[in-house]
Amino acid sequence: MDIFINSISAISPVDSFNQENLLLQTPEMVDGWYKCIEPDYREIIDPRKLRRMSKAVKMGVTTGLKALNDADIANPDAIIMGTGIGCILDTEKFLQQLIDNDESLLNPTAFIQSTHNTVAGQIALLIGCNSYNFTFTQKTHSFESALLESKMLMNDGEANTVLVGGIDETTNNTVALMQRAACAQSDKDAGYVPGEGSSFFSLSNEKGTNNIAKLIDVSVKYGIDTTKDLERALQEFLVKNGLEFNDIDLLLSGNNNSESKWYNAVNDCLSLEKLVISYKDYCGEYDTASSFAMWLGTKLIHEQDAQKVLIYNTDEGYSHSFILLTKC
Amino acid sequence: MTDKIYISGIGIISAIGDNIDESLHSFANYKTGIGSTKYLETIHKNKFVTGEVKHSNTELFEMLAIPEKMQKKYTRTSLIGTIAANQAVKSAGLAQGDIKDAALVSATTVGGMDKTEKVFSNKEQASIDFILTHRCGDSTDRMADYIGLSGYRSTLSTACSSGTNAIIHGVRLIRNGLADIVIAGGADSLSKFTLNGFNSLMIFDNDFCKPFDKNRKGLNLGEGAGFVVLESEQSIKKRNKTPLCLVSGYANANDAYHQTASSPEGVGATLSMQNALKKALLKPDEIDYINVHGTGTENNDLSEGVAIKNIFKDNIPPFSSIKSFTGHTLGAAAGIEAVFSVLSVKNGIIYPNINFKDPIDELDMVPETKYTSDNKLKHVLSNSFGFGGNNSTIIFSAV
Repeated sequence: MDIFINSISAISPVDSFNQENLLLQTPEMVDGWYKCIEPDYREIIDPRKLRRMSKAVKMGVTTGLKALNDADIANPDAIIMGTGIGCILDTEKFLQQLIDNDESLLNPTAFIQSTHNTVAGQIALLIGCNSYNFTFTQKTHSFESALLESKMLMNDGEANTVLVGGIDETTNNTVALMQRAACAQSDKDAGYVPGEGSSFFSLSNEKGTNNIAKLIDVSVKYGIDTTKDLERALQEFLVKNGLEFNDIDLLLSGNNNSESKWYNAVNDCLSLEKLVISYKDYCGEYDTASSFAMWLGTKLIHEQDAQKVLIYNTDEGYSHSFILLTKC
Repeated sequence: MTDKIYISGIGIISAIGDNIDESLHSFANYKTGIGSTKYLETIHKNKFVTGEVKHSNTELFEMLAIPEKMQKKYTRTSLIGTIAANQAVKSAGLAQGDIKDAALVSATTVGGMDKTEKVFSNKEQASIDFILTHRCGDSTDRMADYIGLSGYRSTLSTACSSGTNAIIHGVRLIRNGLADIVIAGGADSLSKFTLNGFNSLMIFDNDFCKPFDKNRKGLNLGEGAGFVVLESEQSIKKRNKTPLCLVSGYANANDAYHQTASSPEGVGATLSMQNALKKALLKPDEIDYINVHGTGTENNDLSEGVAIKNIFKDNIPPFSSIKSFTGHTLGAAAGIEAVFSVLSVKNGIIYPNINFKDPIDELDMVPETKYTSDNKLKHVLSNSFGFGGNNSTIIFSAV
């Protein structure tokens, strides 16, 4: 079954939300990480409701509603989300409150909004959507799981339209803790710039004039021990979809400036003339960064000449993911 | 549903036992696992009863024979999840090769929160290892590594409905030819975070919870893990295995009413039961037993009861909640209840809804309060509902 992307929407460290034409610029680093450029939410969300929403919820709801609106879908057959760390701002807020007040007199708002499924639940609530509603949280492959579930749901004949998204917010505290963990593991600076973002897509199984790209396949692999295994896994993935290495004309690589044999191996598989974009240069490193890559890939297919786009990401070799997009 | 998806193994640990036999013994003897809080460090120890797994982390490490140098990678959620997933794998009689290529789908709401709390309260001195165990998916990775699984894995976090959604994702992986065997379920440990969170919502019964009782006051928190092994027909045949039961229907719907409360009309719950029945090609009167979500909160039990009436009208099958035994185990609840529902189908067990006295006025529904086995239960329906309006239903059927 063919799955089409009918609309995209992203809030990211580059000015992706209001951008008519793609203009990629290196984001400004604040406090050592890439913060999202946030739009004026009041234009999209009722200001009374905005007041209680955390950043993740605001970003998620805004991009989710825009993607639905741009695809002219009032009520999708499913809302499927991926988030690696969840609503970390409210999680930290409630934790801090708990510690400061010694487990007494706590305000429940942060707790209520700290659950991983808050964003998907809020979108359903705002548009009155009683349909299928899933939230995945598998570290760096949370968004890939959401994409896979969307694809399978459509294959199973349970949905014609799906709103799918990836979202992670970050905080100074989380950045500091993650950097500390990375340093302790490798005795050096993490080497990457942390980031955040929210990217949503309207998917449909119907061919039409509003299709802007095609989602061909998504795959997550574990248990890959060598770069040879990785090459084989990539080849299998492409062959399964009727392609060879040479057919890919754009690689969106999750390389985050750390020396990685995995990213080099994928670069080497695809021929050198092919364009490679290290997408984390624009969104920073975060668990669902591949959803930003899918936003970028879709945009490059729709507005520019990209034909067959491969998105590759790895969690330092522990797991590997491929997403394949093509022109319609 | 045309493709047959079987369940070939089950594993469990909760407040009422470390395995299937201990759990069934507790049910048969009306022995709740809820009691005073021993292991969770909290100032509310003497205020609330909880359903703790009756072991310290040290004992859990011993049960799994995890060497000391590896222990820093495990949180309590990972530990109890690994125990249940490992049991499920053994119960299905999976060979090392089967496990390697299998997929694992887990569910959790707190992930490594028990350790995050320690890092957070002592930011400078705390061990950094636990920074890396915070994310929910980390517990799933630990389970996979321990049981020797190197296939696809994922984690669902849709509050208290997570476990059913994990099983649904697992079923789809098989239906879509991406796996032959999937280990699916959920694991959640108690944490100060959830205890204080639910307390701030004033949703606890300080005494033992009373699901579906007129005078119910709230829930008791619990912890535990429950996993099932899902298997394709082809794999069952190849392994020459007698399955425990079938997954015949499932559905997920959103209540779209309130972030934490269920709608008075039970919109989402009605939809999820209705769609699961449709998927199973069953009529309501074919359901022999319902394992209700039944948390014991004012809101859930009323809303769920209304939804059950919407579907079953005047012909409500026997039903009961096991939460007065295990406590509400959040992300693990549906995994645990899937295991007990499978045993209902397999051994005809109906679990007692203890602490029930009088029916809720608006509903006049009386749950089963006696433990009975050898009932003829061909189709068992299990509900799980959560924050964010997430409602899920799954139906298990005799082979």
